[in-house]
Amino acid sequence: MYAIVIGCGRAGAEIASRMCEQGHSVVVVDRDRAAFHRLSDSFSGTTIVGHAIDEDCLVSAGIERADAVIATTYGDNSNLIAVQLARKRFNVERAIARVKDSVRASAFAKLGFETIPSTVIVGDAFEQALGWDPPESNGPTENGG
Amino acid sequence: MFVIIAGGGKVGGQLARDLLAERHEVVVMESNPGKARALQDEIGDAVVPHDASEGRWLIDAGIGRADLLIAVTGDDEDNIVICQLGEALSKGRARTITRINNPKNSDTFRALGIETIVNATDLVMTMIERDVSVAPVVHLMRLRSAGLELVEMTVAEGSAADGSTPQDLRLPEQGGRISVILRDGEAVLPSPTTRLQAGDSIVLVAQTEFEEALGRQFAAPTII
Repeated sequence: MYAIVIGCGRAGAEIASRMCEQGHSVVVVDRDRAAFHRLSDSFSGTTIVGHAIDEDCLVSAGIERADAVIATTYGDNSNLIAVQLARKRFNVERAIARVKDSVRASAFAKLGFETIPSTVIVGDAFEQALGWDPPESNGPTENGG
Repeated sequence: MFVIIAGGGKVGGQLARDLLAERHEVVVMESNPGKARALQDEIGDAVVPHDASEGRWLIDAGIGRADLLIAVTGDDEDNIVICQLGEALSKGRARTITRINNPKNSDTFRALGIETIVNATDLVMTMIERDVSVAPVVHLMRLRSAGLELVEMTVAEGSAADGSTPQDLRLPEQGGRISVILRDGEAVLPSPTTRLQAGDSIVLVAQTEFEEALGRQFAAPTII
């Protein structure tokens, strides 16, 4: 799989490194070159300095032939715009946005976009750790495809 | 009409004043505490000091019964997502309008199927709002369906418009009307005899079918 990871924070660096370990081709995009230090030694992909919603940047990252776009910047809105661009403009098959705001995450999931509601997931994990009843619905929201 | 304005800066604040003066119900959402407080001092309770793209605050502001959501924050991504979120949370009830700050983003956002876009500088937007009070909001949204375009053009040196007046150019007969001239950072309301200069930016309401012909008198037009 050819994947573009947007945002090289802790989450972005983690998923980018994991994907490399699984043998996928990965390009990581971040506005800040210094962010790439978070990538682990197992990262074998390439890095590009650029902005999440800059189409020129996405094209140079190879979005036209990407199988997946993973948007993990700190900004929910940037992530949501990035996945919309990926799906609608570049017909990328999988485009997933990390969205901290649970209301925004579910609203965009209903619109057909894949979202990872990170705050909800962490809340669920804490509940489980505390041994409370697992909630009925959690985890990644519905797939728009 | 119940209107939620996302962004309490220069444009949002002015819009709120105009709408309140017209006795509309208004809520302004502004996440910057200083700006929110200043606006609260002026217009009172109608200010929610939070980020409009944060779902619970948009719900709290009353998006469920809003007729119109206007996103005029300084961030294009925020504006777009606020509009989309507003449409979703109001189940399509609220009409939405937004501003694009960076013209480079217009194509991108149009490609995402977002139609109600006003791409303008603060100055142009403020002028348009002051000029026609509440009406422009509706008009801006309906422009396209009414066969009109709001376009911004720059008078090129040596163009037909350079050194001419709107009267000379017979613009109204040709399906266009200049609503404001931006010259050296100042907005000038034109009269039929105002002389245009190279470098002027013109905001023009044009009948769609004549837009191209009109554009030839100035320069390549940029759709607002």
